[in-house]
Amino acid sequence: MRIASVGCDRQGFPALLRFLETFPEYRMDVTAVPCLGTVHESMMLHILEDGYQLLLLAGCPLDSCFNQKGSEFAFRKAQRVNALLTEAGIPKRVACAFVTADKIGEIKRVLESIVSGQKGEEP
Amino acid sequence: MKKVLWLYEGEDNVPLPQIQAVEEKIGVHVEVRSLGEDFSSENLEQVLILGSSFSWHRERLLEFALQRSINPLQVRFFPWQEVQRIFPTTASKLLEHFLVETLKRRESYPAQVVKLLPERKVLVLPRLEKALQEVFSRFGIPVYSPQPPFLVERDGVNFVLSGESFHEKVGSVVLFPEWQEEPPLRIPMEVEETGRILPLARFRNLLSQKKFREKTVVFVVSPQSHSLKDWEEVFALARDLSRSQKAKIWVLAEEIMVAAPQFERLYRETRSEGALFEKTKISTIVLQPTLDMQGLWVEFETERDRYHQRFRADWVVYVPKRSPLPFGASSWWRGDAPIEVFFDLENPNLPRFSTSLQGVFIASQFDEEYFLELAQTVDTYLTQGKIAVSDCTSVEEEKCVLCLTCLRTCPWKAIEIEGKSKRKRAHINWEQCHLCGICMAFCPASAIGVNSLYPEDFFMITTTGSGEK
Repeated sequence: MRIASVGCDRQGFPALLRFLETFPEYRMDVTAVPCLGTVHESMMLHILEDGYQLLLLAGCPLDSCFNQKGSEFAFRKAQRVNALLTEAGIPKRVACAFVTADKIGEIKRVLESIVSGQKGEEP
Repeated sequence: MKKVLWLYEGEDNVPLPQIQAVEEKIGVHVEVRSLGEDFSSENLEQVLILGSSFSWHRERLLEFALQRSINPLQVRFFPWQEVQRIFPTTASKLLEHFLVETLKRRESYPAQVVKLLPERKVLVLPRLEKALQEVFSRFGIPVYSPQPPFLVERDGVNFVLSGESFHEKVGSVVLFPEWQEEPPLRIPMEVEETGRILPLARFRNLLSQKKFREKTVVFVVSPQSHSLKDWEEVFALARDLSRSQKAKIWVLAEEIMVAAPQFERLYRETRSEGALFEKTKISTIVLQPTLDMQGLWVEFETERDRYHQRFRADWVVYVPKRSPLPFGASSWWRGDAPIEVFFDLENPNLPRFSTSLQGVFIASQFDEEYFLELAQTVDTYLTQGKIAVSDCTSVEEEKCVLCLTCLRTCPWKAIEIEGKSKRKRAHINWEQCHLCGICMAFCPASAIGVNSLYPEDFFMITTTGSGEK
């Protein structure tokens, strides 16, 4: 499975790098953005169109986002994209993990839950 | 030939062969230097930094550029040490990819990094304590606290006070709001009569008097409790009660706060002791007294799977909702963008006392040590000032449809509407802009452009391997 991940400059990107360092068995493509609120729906769909099976958005925790609402915006947009995909009969492919560089377990949890979910949905 | 400076941080681990290969490919001259050296006088095309730390975020890059008087938009960072460790086999390929992607663009940015120094004066509201004035005078900061009515408007990094007989410019505002506490959910009278629902402060006194052995205790945490201390106490109480007295603990909240240091550990410990955490909408929790009036029925729907929960609780403890008493503050922000909430949650990502408006500090305690800490924070802000990038943003007048989306989404309230009645358009106040790019992503007419924030500018680290495991 090809996984793309987008992390915010402040917390998400460092956390993703640390995650990949700690769990070398995971492989993913990592992109850094200034704030997770910058990632819009078309960008998410574009990434998925590029052949990635899963897009992981990693940002500051919801209640302590550096730009106050960036993570919240990203979460809402991810939900909208997932709803679009579900309407088209595709299982949800965008996941959000709100992390700090010290709290990388959340990334693993999100990845595992979504991977197991996708496996379950396959006939 | 164009000159590019390559700076490295930490150990002498410079990928010279890769750099030479790129030099030949693109036709630039790359000079490798240490980060500590002085190079401000040189004419540079691009500055690249090879780092070994995770924390080179945007603010740090801006600060670095400011200290060395370089255009910050020329500075790029590549976490070479980390990439080498994580992707040992493909590291050199990734580096080459990054170099080519960064160096092939030849745009010149008009933007300049600017250090903005606010006026060295402070406005304290709603009233000024003598002790606080003394503390501020020790730092040499004059303090104002005029009698209302007056108007406060933002002017760049400063705040302009205008009253009937005075007109003053201050660099910072310190607020001491008075908090009003109320329960986060509706409590019917018959529930109140059981005496089994009480605020956290009263529950603390009850701990020594009552036994909670195998009792069910529910903590309801308001989304507007705004205090890390409350959360810390809830975690500690939940952990201790379930550990020592084998009580059944539920913690109901809209969002569980684990972002502060040590909170993750506390949360895990509490979970491992058997306490249950459930996310739910607090206003939808239903409480009913039991027939014997010795407990309460608690009903709610979990956010996770919309599962309807109903159980008997012996005690319901709530963390009160705290809202500031109005002191005329809401009426002073005039203009197109009303600033509705500046009493933000304590954000561990921001400095202490900070709010969502830069220069506005919020404080709650009245003791000298606290005042000293507050004065230090304000003094640091006033002396260090703010780093901003001038003219970094542009709004295309023809594209702007005045939908006000940007106004609503900007977390820093940096967007203003300017112009005359029929020719209004959004304008980004660069002095307040933090370059987060949220407005750019939200603009439905794509009228907003932020230099160096276009998607092709985000660098990508690509792994060649595939498969999630």
